[in-house]
Amino acid sequence: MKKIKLIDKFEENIATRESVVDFFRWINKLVSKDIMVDFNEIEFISRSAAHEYLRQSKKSKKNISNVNMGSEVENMFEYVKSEKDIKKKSNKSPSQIKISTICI
Amino acid sequence: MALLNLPDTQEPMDQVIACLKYFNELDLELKKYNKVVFDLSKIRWILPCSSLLLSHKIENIRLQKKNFSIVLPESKAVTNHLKQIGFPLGSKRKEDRCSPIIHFMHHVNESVNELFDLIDHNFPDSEEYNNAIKYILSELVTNIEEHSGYKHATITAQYYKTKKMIDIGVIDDGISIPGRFRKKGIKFNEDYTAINNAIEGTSTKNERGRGRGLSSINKLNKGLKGELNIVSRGGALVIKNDGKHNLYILENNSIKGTLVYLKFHKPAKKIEVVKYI
Repeated sequence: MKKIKLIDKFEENIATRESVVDFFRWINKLVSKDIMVDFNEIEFISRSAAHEYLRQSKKSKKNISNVNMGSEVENMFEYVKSEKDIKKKSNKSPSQIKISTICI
Repeated sequence: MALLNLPDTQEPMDQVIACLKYFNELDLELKKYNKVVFDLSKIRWILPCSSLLLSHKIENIRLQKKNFSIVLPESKAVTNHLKQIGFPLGSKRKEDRCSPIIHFMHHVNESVNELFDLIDHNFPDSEEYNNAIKYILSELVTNIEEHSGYKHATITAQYYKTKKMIDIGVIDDGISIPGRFRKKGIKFNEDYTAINNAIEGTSTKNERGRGRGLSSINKLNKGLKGELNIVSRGGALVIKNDGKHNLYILENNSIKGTLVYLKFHKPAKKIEVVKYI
């Protein structure tokens, strides 16, 4: 099993989808089939990055296990897993509004 | 030589509109003389949204290899502030309370990490809101990267110690929210309607868990009791901290791309982002 410390790849923050895609591009090229991803010292992950992480994990042919996740990071993953389908497209206006026309 | 008159106000949209009017004058000057002078001498008060807009405009002109010069404000306080934030071309300087302007083109991850590093270093006692800032910036930058087709974007964040206020701003020169909706066949009436629909959850992505950046920022902003300003193509939307929406029609398609600007008070206790989004 190959153990990867995320802190070596991301410093303390995982901000963008792109960074996660790059990370999995690298992981998927590794020889080892089993990968242990160590989240120790990762303090922040954005919603988009957490969503992309789960998406890429699902797509990957590797067996990925995640360890040492801090509570905030874990909460974000749980939140993303629980998200419902996106709303239907709407064209509504807010209830309390003031509209101004600015001629420039 | 066009002179910028910025109103002495705490209202971001008043200064944003003044900047947009000014940019129209500058564009005419640039077309006529093939060079431009940014006369900022009369600025007595500048909000981060204006320094962000001006930096972005100046960098755009520099990238086009056009000639430009800048007359700095006569006010020493304003000039010192601009120097502190690395105006106009950005810097990686570590200064208390201020995060320099950062421009990015195609190195978005690097730029975000630089800004996060500066926030960790420059914002004292930021434990309560550190993750909220990082969340907002991450989602905004991801939006730019995924949706805008930008060439150049600019980001900043400031903490005002006395007022305990946090200001965050991101601007890009991409397709804009109404432009993106149009491209994807999503109907809307006015440009401000498209912006409003985006923050209410309308998405151009049809995949579960995607296209929620702005709507989640809107929810977090409500939780922080902050003020959210979005200017995109010919429309603008301001959500005040009492929840009221002000919508604007900006004639002449005055902004290329999108500006998102938030301000909120330092929360009393640590923000758990997932509770609000």
